[in-house]
Amino acid sequence: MRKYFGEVHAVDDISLSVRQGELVSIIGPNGSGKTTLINLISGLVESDSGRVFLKGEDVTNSDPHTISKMGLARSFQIVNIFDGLTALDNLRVAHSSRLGRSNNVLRNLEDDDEIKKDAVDLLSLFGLLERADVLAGQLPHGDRKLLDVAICFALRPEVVLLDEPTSGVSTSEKTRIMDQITSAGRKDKVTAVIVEHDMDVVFSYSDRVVAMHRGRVLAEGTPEEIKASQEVRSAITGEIR
Amino acid sequence: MSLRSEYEFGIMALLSLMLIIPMYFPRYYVYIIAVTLCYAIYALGYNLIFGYTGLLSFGHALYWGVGAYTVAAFMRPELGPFRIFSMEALLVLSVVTSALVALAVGSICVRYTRIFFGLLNLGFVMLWYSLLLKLYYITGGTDGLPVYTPTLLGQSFTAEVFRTYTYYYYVLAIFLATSLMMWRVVNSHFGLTLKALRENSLRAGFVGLDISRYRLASYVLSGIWGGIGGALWAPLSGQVSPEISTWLTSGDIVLMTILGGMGSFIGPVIGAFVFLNLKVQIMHYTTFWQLFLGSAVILMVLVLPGGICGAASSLRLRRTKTAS
Amino acid sequence: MLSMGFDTITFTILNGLYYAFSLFLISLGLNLLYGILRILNVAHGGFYAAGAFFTWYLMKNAHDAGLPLSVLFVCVFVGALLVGVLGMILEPLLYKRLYRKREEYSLLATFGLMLVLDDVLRLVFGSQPLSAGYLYAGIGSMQIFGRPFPIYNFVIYAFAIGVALSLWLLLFKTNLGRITRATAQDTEMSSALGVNTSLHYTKLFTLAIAIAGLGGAIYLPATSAYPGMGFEAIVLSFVVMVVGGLGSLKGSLIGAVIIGLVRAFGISLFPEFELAAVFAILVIVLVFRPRGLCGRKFSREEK
Repeated sequence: MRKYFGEVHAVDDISLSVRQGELVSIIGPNGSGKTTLINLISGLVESDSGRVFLKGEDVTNSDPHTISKMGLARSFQIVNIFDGLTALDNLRVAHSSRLGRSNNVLRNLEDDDEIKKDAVDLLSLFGLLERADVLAGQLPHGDRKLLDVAICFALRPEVVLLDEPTSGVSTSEKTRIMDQITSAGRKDKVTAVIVEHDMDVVFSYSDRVVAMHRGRVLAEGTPEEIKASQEVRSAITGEIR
Repeated sequence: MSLRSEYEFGIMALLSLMLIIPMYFPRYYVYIIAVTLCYAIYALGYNLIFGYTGLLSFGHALYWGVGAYTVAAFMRPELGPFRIFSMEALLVLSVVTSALVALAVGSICVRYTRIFFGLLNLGFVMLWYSLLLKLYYITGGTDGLPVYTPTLLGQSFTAEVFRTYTYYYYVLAIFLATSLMMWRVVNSHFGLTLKALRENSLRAGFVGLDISRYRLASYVLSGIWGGIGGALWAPLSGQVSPEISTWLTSGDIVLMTILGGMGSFIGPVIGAFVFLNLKVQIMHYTTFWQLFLGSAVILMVLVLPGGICGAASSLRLRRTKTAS
Repeated sequence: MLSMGFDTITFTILNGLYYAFSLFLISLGLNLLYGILRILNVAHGGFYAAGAFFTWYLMKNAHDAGLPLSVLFVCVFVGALLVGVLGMILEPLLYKRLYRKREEYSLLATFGLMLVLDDVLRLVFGSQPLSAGYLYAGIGSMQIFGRPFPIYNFVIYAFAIGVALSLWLLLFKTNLGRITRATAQDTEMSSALGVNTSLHYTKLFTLAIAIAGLGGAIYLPATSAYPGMGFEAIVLSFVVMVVGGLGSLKGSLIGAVIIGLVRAFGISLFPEFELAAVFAILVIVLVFRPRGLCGRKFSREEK
């Protein structure tokens, strides 16, 4: 795929395939085009060339809701949630959408126990249960990040694209997020593509790592291969510990 | 959260109870309250698209006008035996016409947001206004059309009794019914969907929601409520003229909603009461009501974005904090 | 359309331009404010009206004092200046607090201000139309195709073009202009570079308001100042903004000329629908090309 912003080749001829159930991490220095790539795949940004296929279907430049209904969920680098709604409601919106009840005008939302239970369960999984009734905009940053990722999982997606899901988040919260992703991967064969800067996370959890640099793929392989790569090391100096 | 909703609905019930008392109030005041109830329905509808869905329209008076003119149009003497005097039939017709217009206009408008949405609606209401002025053989032009006394549930009344007594209760009943319906709507899954759209339409899309479709649904509902308000108002006014649907009168409903507080359910109702009654009171002393209400709006935006209801709830919050 | 004589067409165009330039002067300031400060200033119509009223007052008194035409002409500028001062006062009081708010909120606040301005003008100057046509009459008229045409109208044309040129020079050839354009792009960067953005915004704001006031002032000799004129002016200016492109100064000129000509030809050819035609254009442009003729493209996120 290609995406040019004027003279800047944000994404320059990148091809990527991901198998079902895989956890692929995308790493690279700032400005290497990782977020743009995620935006291209999820349809937020129009591609200049190239195609995106989800489960065999061409979903290039789809509307967000179309691609969502096909089973893709994404989170955002800068937290992008429903600030004016409570944490509980943030998840309830997603559950409601998944169950096709979003257009229901007759039933009282509070009477819907199924959705409430799903949302409460997910909140506990992410350690947010105590703050269920707090407005998302007033939560601390780490919780907001967790919520952003939790919303993705509320959709019970088949593919998740997570853009820096653990940035600005404490270590225990990091583990929580990654455990959720890997358990979903094992149990429900959820495929995950993650943009990450935390190399510990990358090397501990990934099945495959893709290193990007200046809009192109620098190297691709198992975590061990990438760890050992001199090329990658020099391109991302200071980031590998 | 549900305690607060109960509290809000309690206020509404109280309000309506109070309203039964005006049997003891002077006739002119009963008339004003009846008019206010019409505006309250209008405001509740507007709040759906504005407060709950987050879209600011400067053309909502279009639906008020459509509702009012529908009533007047079907009462025209030119229709001869086809004239309709049944208020129930007229209301149904108004719902139909405002729904159709809202569907047509909305399907164009909801594809755009924010300022563009506001300006598009402004364009449509002014288009309607200019057509009302020019197509005088249908619409009566600048003079407008007279509105005769309709029958209520098949019964006729003299104009006097109608305006100051019976019709008041009729309007009150419809107000309560439509408020209950709107209450159901905003507390349903659909209501939550609209709020999500308001908070973050981008994320709403990524959660699988078809943004335009839901906005259109919200828009059509709010248009219908506006049409009902206008239709109910027409017999009270006795006359419909193009001036009732301009961008300026659309501004009035925005002011009412903001004044009362757009984050809440009854905010707009309170706003309508305050705005209209304030206007009437101010007009006793001076014609410069714009000065006062304009200043009030500026103050609201700068100091009290939550309106009257917002101020009341934060006051309550502060009191409970100091208590604990 | 084709049955119009050449002379009628010329007159219609001249009238259209006459009308267009008033819209141009208003929407110029509107676009400045929206493009750089992200505020859709509904009250702009009120400043236009204030320009007309202030100038009326000055001219009436100057005329009654027996002062010559040249002094009357200066009244126009003084009137505009006074409006600028009004803007300078209101900016820190109100507008400064709106810059950070959402567009819809500032729209509502400026709408409130418009209401206030209209009533204040009504309070001070009364509800009757006020005219001071001495300058207009004094300069006289000339013959075009055998019909009289006021020379003052040419003064208006010259003025509008002069303002356009001056603004262009200001924005593209001076330091102030460069800073302004930079500030529009990136507030944080500009203040990091040591630009006093706050003072800057005040200057910009005052300029935009003064131009609107100038619009009202220059037209006063030709027409009259009347209550509610601000409302009329602002709605049509919105249409101009949309047609030209929100935030585009070039667009204000092009949009204004289009709307002015549509109105003029509309009044001649289909007088019943000229107003409807203008709003139909608004809707059509918003639907098929929301960025207008000279505006920039939107990304999916902005929708």
